[in-house]
Amino acid sequence: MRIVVKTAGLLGRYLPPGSTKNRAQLEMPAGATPTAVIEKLGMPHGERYLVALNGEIVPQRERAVRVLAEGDELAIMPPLKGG
Amino acid sequence: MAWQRKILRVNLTEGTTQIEPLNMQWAQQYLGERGLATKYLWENMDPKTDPMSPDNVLIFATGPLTGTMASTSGRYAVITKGPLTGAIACSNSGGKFGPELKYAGYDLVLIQGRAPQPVYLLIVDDDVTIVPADEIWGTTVWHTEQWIRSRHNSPLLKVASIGVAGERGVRFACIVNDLHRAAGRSGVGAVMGAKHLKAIAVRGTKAVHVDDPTRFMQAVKETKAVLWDNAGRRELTELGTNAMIDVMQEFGGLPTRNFQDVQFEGYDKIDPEAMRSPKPNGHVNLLTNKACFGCTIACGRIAHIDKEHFTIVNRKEYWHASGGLEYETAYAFGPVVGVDDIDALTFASFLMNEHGMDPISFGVTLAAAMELYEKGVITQADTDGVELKFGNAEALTIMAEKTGTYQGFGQVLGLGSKRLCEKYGHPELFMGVKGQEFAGYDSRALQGMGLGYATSNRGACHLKHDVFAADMEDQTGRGKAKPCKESQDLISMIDSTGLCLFTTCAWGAEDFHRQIDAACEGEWSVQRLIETGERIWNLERQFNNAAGFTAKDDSLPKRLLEQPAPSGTAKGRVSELDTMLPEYYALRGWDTDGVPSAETLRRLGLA
Amino acid sequence: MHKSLLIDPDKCTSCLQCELACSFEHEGAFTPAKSRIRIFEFEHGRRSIPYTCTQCEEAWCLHACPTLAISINHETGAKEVSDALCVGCKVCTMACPYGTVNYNVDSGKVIKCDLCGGNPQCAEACPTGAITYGLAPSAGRAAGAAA
Repeated sequence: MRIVVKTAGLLGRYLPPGSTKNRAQLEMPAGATPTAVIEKLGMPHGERYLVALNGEIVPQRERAVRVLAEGDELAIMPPLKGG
Repeated sequence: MAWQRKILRVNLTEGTTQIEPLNMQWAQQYLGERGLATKYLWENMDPKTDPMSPDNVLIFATGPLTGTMASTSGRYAVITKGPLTGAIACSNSGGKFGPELKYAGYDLVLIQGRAPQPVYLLIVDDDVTIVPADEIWGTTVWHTEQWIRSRHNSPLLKVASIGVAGERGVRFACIVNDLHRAAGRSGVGAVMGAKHLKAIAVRGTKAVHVDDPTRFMQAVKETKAVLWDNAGRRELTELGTNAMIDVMQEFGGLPTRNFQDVQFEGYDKIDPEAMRSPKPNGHVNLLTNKACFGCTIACGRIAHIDKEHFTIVNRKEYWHASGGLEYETAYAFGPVVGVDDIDALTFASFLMNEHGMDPISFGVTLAAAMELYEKGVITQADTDGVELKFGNAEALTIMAEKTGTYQGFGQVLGLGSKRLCEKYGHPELFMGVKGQEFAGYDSRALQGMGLGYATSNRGACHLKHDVFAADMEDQTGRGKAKPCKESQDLISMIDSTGLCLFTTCAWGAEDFHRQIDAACEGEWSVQRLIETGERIWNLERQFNNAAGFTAKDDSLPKRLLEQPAPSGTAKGRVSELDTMLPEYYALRGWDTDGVPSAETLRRLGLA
Repeated sequence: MHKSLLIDPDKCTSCLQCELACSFEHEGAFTPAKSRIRIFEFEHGRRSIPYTCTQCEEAWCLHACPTLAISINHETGAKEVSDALCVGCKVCTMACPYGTVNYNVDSGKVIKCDLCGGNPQCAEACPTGAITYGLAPSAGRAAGAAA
């Protein structure tokens, strides 16, 4: 299945080559979860990413169990603060 | 050691200066900078004093770690009663001015009275002079810095000064040092103006000593490595604080068009990517990054404006580089006023530094005026003929300049959003707390942020608490009071060390403890440091309560309490302040009126 | 061939940790006014340039000194000032075309970069790699000759 991944900041470097505007289409096996996407992209472990699926927050405890579907839009944002 | 053990007291009415020993008992209770200056303010003035009167006290304070080798040791704070809010003002700045003051031998400078004529204060180590400022009164911050250095033939003087905005009492005038760092919020620049004090120029050639140099340098080396290796630090170094704009857009917490929306369609025209991308004519906004004194992060941006852009095409004096967009300036000249022209934003940012104004308060005040204009409450007859519509980049830059030079409708904008909205009969359009405008985070999407805004002692502020992690994990108000209270105490302590809050991307209380304990005399455990922070927070609260604030002032605008967020991950939500606030008061040991209980005051040594 | 301080101004953020480290090494406290290395800033911080003694071959300071207080450390190549011999006459500060020998009012002696005996603390402290200590490539930039 294909999903869309969006990110920001330096995490954009983990998207597949050729991605623009911090967006990429990604082929994932059926049953994949947000955690599986983070792992597939090779984003560093142990970071407190902000994860949203189709515009809704996915809390930490649900990231390894929430199952993605064809056409889903998954946002993985860096743990920024301040400004 | 780490303190210089001296303060400088200046009475501008009498024209006198006096060097006094630092009260070391207070230093042991309040550390330095924010905390220690709050204690000095509390002991030296009546909180009911009119902030613009000669009786207001203005304090420039360094922390024990200011000017040491600790990463980010360039901070100082300005503490006074704020004319924007009527509450305690606590504005913190970086650059190089703070350490220079410490090297001149002072932990803090306490200024009282009002000079009969405009003056500036010249400090060269022990030599302190009050100098007439007639030749620079009425000029900009940028001119003032350069003029003072030339006048004294001393390129090494560091200068903190105000522009015309501060001289003329713009309620959100700030104090700018080193051209583009600022003690930005609550109108501390207007206090300086009311005292007829144009600038403080300082050169310091003395040393800062620490208690245990070997242990201190070891702690500095290790904490610096932790900071350097941190992912959040890398974001700040490479992208600057404006990296946040993409996150807030996705989250739906990016206040847009005076908080009518929480996402901005033009965000990607003003984000870090846009700052680095060439325009069709080849112009790139961002030139480099720049550090404050002692900083291992260097989040500051240095940018320049396209010479063909309408703002400066005929104004060569702005063709140079200067301080570029940070997240809050990008928000305040971008989404909240609906503008997506990056050169216009950068020009407005230059103007804020040149004339000495807080970009957050200016932008949010302009946003309120734009909403009033679109509602037909004010017209071009009020706005000097300018079409004050959301999205009008020209209106943004014209009004920034008019406010900075105190001309026309700029004088009305200079009142700040609360007074402006009241003047036109629409107090509900003021987006802020205790008279101070919100930073770039919407309280409907970030619930803990909303509680922090409501309870911040200097009025709405995003820098006095840190609930980001919890807010991005759970969008209800549940469990937000505790991290809000705990981070307020921690940050009160950090703001009193002389170090920068942005180190908290990598450092916890333990990291500050190691450096403070090695640098300062006395035993500084983590627990003692946190309790110091709590003491500071409660003393600020006591100041505000004595100034006349009550629990009613710990509130948010109706728009955020009643009108649901129209889009984003928090779509449909309103702020849950009504449930968070009682929980917060209880955790603080305050009664239901927000007054610290006798037991709380006793525990903290404030009774 | 001796190692030297290599300066890359493009990497300098003007954080002054080099000045802090230098003053701590030589004075035992934090006092950038007595640092042997200086950062110069241009155009509102658009460029920042570290500047210190290049340990130049000509060694004008050494030849100008009437009390033979300046000598070459043959391990590092640094021109070092002997506090015991320096009488504070300042002739070396005038002889140096780069202005990197300075008079210290408190001690009554001159101060200049001594490469910290081969472990320069400025390079150690620099977080960005703007100051490094190594063998200069033939076309490389040595301290003071930068930009």
